[in-house]
Amino acid sequence: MSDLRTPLSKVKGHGAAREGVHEFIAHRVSAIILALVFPFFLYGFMKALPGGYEGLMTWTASGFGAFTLLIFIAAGLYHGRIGINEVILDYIPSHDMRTFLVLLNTLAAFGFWLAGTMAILKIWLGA
Amino acid sequence: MAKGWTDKRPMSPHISIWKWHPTMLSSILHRASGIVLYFGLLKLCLVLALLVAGPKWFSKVEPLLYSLFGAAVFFAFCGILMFHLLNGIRHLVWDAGKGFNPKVSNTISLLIILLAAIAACVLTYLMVGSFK
Repeated sequence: MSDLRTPLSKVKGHGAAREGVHEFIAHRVSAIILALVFPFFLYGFMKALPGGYEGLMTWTASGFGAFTLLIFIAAGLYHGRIGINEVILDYIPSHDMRTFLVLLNTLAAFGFWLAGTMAILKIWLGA
Repeated sequence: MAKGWTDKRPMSPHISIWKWHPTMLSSILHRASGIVLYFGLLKLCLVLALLVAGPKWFSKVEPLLYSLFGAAVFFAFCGILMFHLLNGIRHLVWDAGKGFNPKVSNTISLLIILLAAIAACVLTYLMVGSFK
């Protein structure tokens, strides 16, 4: 197939970045997972929160509640990391700052996911 | 906005050349709500970590959680979450190539914002009502 792009557009760097399909699909798949798990999360949260410490512990310690929270946190942080990355790439002008924030975002998402997951597992399996 | 922009390619989205309309508002709100919800998730992870730390530590944030301020935060997050959920489902419909009529899109945008506000009111009413 012949190349339809003009030499000028190539020199100016116009056009698609030719990457990001992975993020695009992962963003939508995690969105669907979140939409499916959300009703269970909302129901559990609404039931647990009035109970204070005991209520939240009982919810997290139940197998169903633990699974709901594990999926919600994992899919949510994964979805959020991609979304925030997109915002950073769109609006941060300096290349160095952009790189730094994308790194920070990835570390934050992974760190908080690990902390939350460990907490859920400890409450669930330790109960 | 483009001040200091070093990339040779044009910056997207092109905010300055758009006219305001409901679908544009919902698009901007989708981004803004997504950012807020990300921090909400980080907060949820912190609360889970506090639960593990024990009732002694949890009791330190409990008064803040179950206060007027806590109810206001709950209300805000409910509205933001419901909006992002509903608009996200609409985005999936768009991805499937459906629902691009501008007039219908504008109506649905306003409807989504209204529904999210109603849902936030109902959920906050249920939550605060269950305290007593």
